[in-house]
Amino acid sequence: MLDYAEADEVQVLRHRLRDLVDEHIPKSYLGAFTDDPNDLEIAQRFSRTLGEQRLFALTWPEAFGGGGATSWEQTALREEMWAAHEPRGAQYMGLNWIGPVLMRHGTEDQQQRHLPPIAAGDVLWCQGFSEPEAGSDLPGLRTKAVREEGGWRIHGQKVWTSYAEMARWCFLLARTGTPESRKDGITVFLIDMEQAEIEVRPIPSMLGRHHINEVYFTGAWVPDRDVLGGINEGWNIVTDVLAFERIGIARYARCDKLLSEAPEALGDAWADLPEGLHQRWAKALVHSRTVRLLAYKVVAAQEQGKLDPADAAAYRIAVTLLDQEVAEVLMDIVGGWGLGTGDEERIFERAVEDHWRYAQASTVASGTLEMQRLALANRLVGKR
Amino acid sequence: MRNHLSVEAVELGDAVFDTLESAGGVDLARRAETDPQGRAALIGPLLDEIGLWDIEPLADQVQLEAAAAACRAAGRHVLPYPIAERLSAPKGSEALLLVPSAGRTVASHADLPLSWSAVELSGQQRAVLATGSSLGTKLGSFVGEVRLGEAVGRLERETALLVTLQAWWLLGVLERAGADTLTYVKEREQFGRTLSKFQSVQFTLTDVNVATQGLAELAKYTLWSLAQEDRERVWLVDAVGLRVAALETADIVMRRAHQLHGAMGFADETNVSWYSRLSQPVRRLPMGLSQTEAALVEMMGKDRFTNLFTPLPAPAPREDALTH
Repeated sequence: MLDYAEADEVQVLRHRLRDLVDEHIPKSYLGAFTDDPNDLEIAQRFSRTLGEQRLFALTWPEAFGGGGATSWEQTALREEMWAAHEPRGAQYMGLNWIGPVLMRHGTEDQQQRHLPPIAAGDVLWCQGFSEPEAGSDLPGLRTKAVREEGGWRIHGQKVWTSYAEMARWCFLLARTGTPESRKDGITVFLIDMEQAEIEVRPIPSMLGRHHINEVYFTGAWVPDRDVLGGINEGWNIVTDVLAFERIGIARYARCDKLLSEAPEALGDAWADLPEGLHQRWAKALVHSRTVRLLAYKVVAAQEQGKLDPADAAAYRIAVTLLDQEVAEVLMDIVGGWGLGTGDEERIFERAVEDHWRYAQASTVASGTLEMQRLALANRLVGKR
Repeated sequence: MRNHLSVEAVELGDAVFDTLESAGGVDLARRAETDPQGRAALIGPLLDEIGLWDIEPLADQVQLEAAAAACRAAGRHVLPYPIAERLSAPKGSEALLLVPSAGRTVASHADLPLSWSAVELSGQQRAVLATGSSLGTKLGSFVGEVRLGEAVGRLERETALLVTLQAWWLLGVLERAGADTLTYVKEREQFGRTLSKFQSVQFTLTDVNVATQGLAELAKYTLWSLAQEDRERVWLVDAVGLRVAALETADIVMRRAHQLHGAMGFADETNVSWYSRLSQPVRRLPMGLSQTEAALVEMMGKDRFTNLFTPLPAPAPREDALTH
């Protein structure tokens, strides 16, 4: 029988998280990656606060510093954090997929060294996947790992690497097979970013500071103990990563929040909006509910161990398109204020501006819309 | 959270589907179009045998889910019979018409001689003075004129039920249209390969799949909402939200189903022609997409569409609780 009522423990968690956000995060906060370095500090502090209360790695096993909670509590955590402009900063990445992938594929030594700092919100990771010549065609990556006594030397370049400027560790894909080996010649390395042979160059972008970077590896060192999984067996791990990433960000939650806030934020001006815009707003609310339900379908299937990657792709197609639809509706609602303002009292308008800029990347980041469509189409028509 | 219908509902849906399939499936619609009046005798007894009319959808959630599953199964055969309308009948009548509040006063299945009640999308009940015969047109074979009397009260829950069950019927039609289209593009060859090998076709199929999956999940949620006594204030707005989604999805799915079937899709020998034509009354009556959106805006107000940040509105204060 159908049941969409939220469990008591999930409701309790939501209220607790909203209280913590109210207490620790300024109303004007729009994420960690602004021109104000204080925002990054707020995020780091908030992550540690969550870590202290075992709210950070909520569904991880307690042995790794987690809270042993349900998938639905984890879902609520994702929703509440994304709706509040992700006050954990870049930490969500370690939590959402680096940690779970280490639990599945890491050695005991790797788990003991890396998981507790992630669970405590103490360490930032970045993801070294995309390269200038390997975007959607990730198996074509060229960054090379060369064997030496006791470890590997990394040579090559990554690009679009979020948070590389501040990350201490990188989850890096490099070629250990022949140049033609594609998926069969890739290995995952956990590489310490604090070494002279790694240079990070920020790429100025519409997304804000720290968001995307180039990373150059000129013989950077990875000891054998930081090779994840087997040599040339990295692609299986990548498949896991992509599956975790597809359900990682609850974009619909911020859509819900901003759409809900719009009438009150506009005050008397709300009634003056054209009927057509009211209708787009109403439809966007319906779409956001629909996408949330698609997310819950995926979470329910994952909880039962029956997650079809094609369903996850369908959800991701829907949620990224929703993000952009809502961005357009909200920008129309706020008019010229959407172009940005230094007036910190205009919290809603500033949030809309931020949402629009960030939404532009939603159908590109973490696997493009076209790749998601291919994944779904392959299931529908059978692989070519 | 559970997004699965009860076992009883699934079993009833399967029984309805199989019964209609055995009786001819979409061919029932072909036969009914040649004699619209005769469809009551052609189809009614099939559903009688399953015991469908014993269901009281508003009595409990299990029966409500069973009614929805039956409508979805009927939709998969684009069944030209007032299944949603009969399951939504208020006490004292056999079936419920959803009638326009302005414009041409016609309604789905009003051509059948049943003891009808009528409601507008707003929940306003109207007296039914008379109903007419089938419009006899390509899109309106199973639509009749209605002559309406005065407003006679409100039937919000029954209206929400009818709107929701019609959306479940339409969901069934769209799922079947998507499945047929997939089959077609996997078989049809052009330029030496099947249509399904073309990426543009594949992407079109994903549009259909994502839209239909979304509608299915929203339809389930709306059904659950209607079963919750404490959600009385949002029953109708949830149902009308579902109707907006259903009409949008119908446009996405049927447009693409037609396009991928090519000229074959217009031919009545192909089922997609029937899904397209016979889904029109539910899509246009009592009002089409734009007007349904306008109705939704009015019902939503600023805070009556619940989500993560809009809680369930408090019940309206009882009049006798007012103090002076």
